[in-house]
Amino acid sequence: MSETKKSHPYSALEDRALWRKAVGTVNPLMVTDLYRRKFEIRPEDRIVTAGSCFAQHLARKLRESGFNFCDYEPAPDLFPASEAKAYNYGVYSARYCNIYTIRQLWQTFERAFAHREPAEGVWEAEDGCYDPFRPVVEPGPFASREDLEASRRSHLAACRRVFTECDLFVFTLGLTEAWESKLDGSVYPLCPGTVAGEFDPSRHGFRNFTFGECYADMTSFIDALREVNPTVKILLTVSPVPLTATKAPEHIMVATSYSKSVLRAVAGQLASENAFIDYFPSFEIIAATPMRAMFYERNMRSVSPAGVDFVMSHFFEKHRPRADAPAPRQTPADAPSKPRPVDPDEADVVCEEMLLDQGL
Amino acid sequence: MLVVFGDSHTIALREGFQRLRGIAQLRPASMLKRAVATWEPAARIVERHPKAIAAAESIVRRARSLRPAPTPTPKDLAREFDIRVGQIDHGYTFHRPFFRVDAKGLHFTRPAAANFFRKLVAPSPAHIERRDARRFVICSGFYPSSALLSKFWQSHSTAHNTEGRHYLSRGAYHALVRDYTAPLLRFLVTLQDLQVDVSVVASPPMSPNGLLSWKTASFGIEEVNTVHDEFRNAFAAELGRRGIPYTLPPPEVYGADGLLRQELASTRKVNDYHANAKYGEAMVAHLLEDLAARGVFSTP
Repeated sequence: MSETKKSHPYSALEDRALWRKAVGTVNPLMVTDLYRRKFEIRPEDRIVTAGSCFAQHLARKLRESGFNFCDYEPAPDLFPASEAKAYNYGVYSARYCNIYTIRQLWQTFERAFAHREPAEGVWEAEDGCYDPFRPVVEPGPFASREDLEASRRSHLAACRRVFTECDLFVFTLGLTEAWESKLDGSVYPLCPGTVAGEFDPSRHGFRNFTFGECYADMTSFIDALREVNPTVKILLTVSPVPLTATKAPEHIMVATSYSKSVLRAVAGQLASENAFIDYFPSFEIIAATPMRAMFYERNMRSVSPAGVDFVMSHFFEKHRPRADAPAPRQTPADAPSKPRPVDPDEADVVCEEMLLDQGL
Repeated sequence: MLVVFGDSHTIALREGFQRLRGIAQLRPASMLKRAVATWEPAARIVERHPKAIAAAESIVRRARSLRPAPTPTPKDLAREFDIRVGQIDHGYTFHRPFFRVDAKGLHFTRPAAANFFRKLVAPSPAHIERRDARRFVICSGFYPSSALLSKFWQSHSTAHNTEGRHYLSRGAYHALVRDYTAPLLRFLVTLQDLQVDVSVVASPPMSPNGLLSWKTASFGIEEVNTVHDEFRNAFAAELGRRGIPYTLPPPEVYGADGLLRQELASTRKVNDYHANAKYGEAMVAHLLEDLAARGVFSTP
């Protein structure tokens, strides 16, 4: 009996689907075709970003590369470039600072559209007032409650425009752990008492969100977002940056693995369910075993600039502004109704979570 | 010599100084006569004419021990001291690098400023030396200059309830002011390092005429005042942090609306945000009192 090749689902796989061919015998820096886009990003598409600190790299690289990264809460002209980052100008598309959890993103949306008014609105301090939901938006406290509330109103107005006017919403999922108010379930980006406020166990509790909770929150957010912006597309990534600290009982490595696994699964699930949601594998490009942790700094947590470049090289392979692309919509900074593309900044990112390290 | 110099707001001070002094500047000989009666001017003259009046030192010492110095009025001070007041450059130039330092001391780098300063202080040196015997007061830094006037505030606002514009927190505004006035602050700190007596005199409050340019963009007086007051507060805080003395306008020049009283405003042209000579006279009198209280006229 002559030997005939049996046909089966694995018989005609592309090289990229086979570990040996795609990874096992390839220099990790030469791995190709890691990502295939689901939709095109047009040069004129208004791109906004949010997420954990790794998202800052994406924002910076997108605007450096000529995409139409939009800033809806820009610094005023003459604001010192050297201080812009400390005041969270130009870091993201609005001054929401790092949004670590999906619950925090959903909450930001709800607050922007006045569907939620957190019970704990201001943290009074000797030298001023802190916003519990943006405790490090400025290097010091707000001068007064009025100062804080005016800044918040202005910020939430900018957030509304972020959500309603963008063509592409890029969100980097960072953590599953958060501290929440026992009064109304509002989550804080940083544990009360670490950089501002006072920790009160009767008012503040720890949460480590499950897959179900993360998925539900993200679905709620996406539904609400599509309601105010029906044509918006979403690009999800998962931050490859491990946790700084965990309040979960597990070892920090195990806790990190849980967080990233849940978030990766949520992103994958949503991307598989929706044509308007894409997943970009920045987590895998940095953290997968073939990369041998080469793009982590010595602390095995921070991602090196070379790592960011490597991630983005995969992104720009598939999303490239046309050579003849019109310049990004250069909208005047003095017209708040028009978002302003901001100048490129240095590679440093604002990682509020790292502030935890200083108190440990 | 006391040198009051700075931006265009110095013009009102110069005119006010001339009104306050009322007469032509006294010559050293006539100043010497007064010096016998009051030791403080004499000490200054000894400093300026050491050979001619070397013996006066002992007279001064004796005078100091025998009788208390009468409290001089601003008019006395304006008449008895060698005071020079004049604009040396436009306001915006003080918000950019405008000086350099070498072994001789500090020099103004813009030719116009250097030239005006030279004329103002002649025949004394046209640069500022280490431990310069002259006293300096700069009129600049307290006014948000043209770059921060109405056009700037069309995108941002310091007002708490402003729809359609981004709110600029007090902290962020202060950071902006700190950066905006950095060249001037560097100038002042450099003079401190050179052990030179230097202080700052504030520009006048926002004038009703200057408000016209704001009104075209529908800014309320409250917002305009906030912009000016916070600018002033921020700069004053920076000076305070560095131990640099400053003199703010006296309360009587403010109107009920927080603006410069109308009768003290310049009427030279539309949208003129400067003050007039009457304001200058009041402000110079206030400045001289302030300087006297700080011992500027009695320090040898």
